[in-house]
Amino acid sequence: MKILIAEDDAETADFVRRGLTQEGHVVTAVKSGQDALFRATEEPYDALVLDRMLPGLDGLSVLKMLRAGGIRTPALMLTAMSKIADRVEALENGADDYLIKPFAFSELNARLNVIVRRPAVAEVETALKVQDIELDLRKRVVHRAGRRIDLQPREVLMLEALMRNAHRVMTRTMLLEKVWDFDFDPRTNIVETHISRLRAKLNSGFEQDAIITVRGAGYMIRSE
Amino acid sequence: MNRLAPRSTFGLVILVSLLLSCAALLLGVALFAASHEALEEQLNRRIEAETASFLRHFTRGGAAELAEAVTQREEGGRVSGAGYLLVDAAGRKVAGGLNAPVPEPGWREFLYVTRPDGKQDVSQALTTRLPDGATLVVAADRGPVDASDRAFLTLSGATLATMLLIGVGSAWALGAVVRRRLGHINQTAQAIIDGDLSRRVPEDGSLSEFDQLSRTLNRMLDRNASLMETLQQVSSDIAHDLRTPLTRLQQALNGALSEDLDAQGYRRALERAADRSQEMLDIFAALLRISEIETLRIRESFQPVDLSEAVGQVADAFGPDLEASGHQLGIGEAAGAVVEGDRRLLLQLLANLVENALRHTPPGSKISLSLQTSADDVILEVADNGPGIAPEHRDKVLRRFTRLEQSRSTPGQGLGLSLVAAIAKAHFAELMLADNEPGLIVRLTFKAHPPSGG
Repeated sequence: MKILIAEDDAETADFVRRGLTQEGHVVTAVKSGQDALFRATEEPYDALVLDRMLPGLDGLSVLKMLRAGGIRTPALMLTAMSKIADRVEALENGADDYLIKPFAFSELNARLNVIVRRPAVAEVETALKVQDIELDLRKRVVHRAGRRIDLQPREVLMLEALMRNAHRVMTRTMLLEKVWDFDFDPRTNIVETHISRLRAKLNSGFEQDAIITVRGAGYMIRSE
Repeated sequence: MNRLAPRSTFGLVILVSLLLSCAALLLGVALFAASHEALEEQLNRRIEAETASFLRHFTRGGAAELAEAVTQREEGGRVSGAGYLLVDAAGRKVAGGLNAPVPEPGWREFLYVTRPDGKQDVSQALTTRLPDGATLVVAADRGPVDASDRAFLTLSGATLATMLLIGVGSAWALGAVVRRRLGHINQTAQAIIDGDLSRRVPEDGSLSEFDQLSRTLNRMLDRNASLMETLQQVSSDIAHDLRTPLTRLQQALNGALSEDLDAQGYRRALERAADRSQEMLDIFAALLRISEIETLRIRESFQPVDLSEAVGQVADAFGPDLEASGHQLGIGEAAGAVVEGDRRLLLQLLANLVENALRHTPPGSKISLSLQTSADDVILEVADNGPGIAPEHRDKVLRRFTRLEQSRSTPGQGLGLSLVAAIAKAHFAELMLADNEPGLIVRLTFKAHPPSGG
């Protein structure tokens, strides 16, 4: 993928650039809002990583101008502030996701992967199917290889998040947000506990583990 | 600002009393003029009446009867202070004892009359020329008018003087009182500026404006003092609490440097170091969040939040963990408990309380979440039957970084309950820690109708 990073802090920019390059992406890094706006309008990118605080034109304004100009490149906003209102503001102004500094590279990578493949229009789906697992979105019922699996509503929600993002890693914080609407990280292992329950229910009677644990990153549904 | 306007109490009161004196003076002048005129008018009417009666005598009996009447009237002495003079056309005196030069016909306001004892009186006179060329002068003594005028002026002067005296006196007294009371406040402020932060404005227990001001100022000073104390405590606690993970980080790094490790060993050492720095970042994140909430700006985006639903969500999230650690979770829900607030913060508050209970109670303990609603408030309770918190420590645990001796061995930063306290305050909720006999009960009372606005 071609990714544009706008970040004035050289160390953070380098950290992100190196990580993304290692993942096989082509990365362009700029230091100011004006440069970001210019590059993003001139060249097609697959994703933007914008720091909220940039010298001159800040990240939010860059994003607003891009969106006003009809450029819909998926954008991930970075910020040093954990202000509750900032998050809402960023999402309302066209950011596809939002990440608070400092962050782990795996978190950034996972979130970028999710926003890049996010369908541009809401798909009208009635069911999700990944390998032998099927989720009926209206009845909220799950089958694996035709066998009905009894799940709690919250477990269905978690499975749905994993299935919608098949091939992509869902981090703990992403799951906390999607499933419980928690924007904080509890000290207890609630994600791990719920995943292990879901896993036990999905796997009971089957050979293959339906959920893959990606060490140090998060979880994925087995899709091949 | 008008530079001429007086700024001191003294000046103000002087100004007011001067204005009042001026008003009194104006009123006096008006009254004086009116009464003076009335008295003169009265004299005039008397003179006119007498002149008319003399003229009737003249019409009836000519100059002779008129002279007779004048003489009679004078001798009769019926009217005090009156004087008459009748001279013929040649200017010779015919009758009357008025000892004054004959004025021109018409009214004369001030006619100087020489009394038998040689002194001069002032009279008001009407001079009438008769058809035969004679002249009749009827005069009335102005004494009463002058006496009344004098009395009036004396009285007015005395009143004005008294008013000015009272004005200046009260200005001085009021100024002194205000100066004294403000002086106390001033001294206190100066003492605080000089570093004596415990100084307070003296209160006299009365309900005067000054006392109310003193009380309000003292309350403000108390609040500032407690904020400063918190700030000092927090700064030293931050320094102290960050030293622990920093020391551990350094130990991990130094240990790895001094030992001859293989790649696996170095990796483990790096992982330990990363964990330690994550710990510090977590502390900062929690602190920043608390300070953000304490600015109360989040109130601007408050919306109705279904607490019943939030309780369900948190119970659902922590259910498996609680079960895994052998705790029992009880939920006493009231449906439709709605409060104004920030959904995510309320979720965090609930999560913190549940985690707290989970962390500080032994396996097998019972943790319960309950909601009660009434017309005025929504009460949220998180209770456990664990060891509880001694009454003397209950206030302390709400402060940042407080970790009781008994929980030193359990993980945590001592920020969970301060975050709960900050969120509760932002939501106008009253937070109370009580004894669950045994165990701890955390009670949050949300107002069903919180004060509107930020």
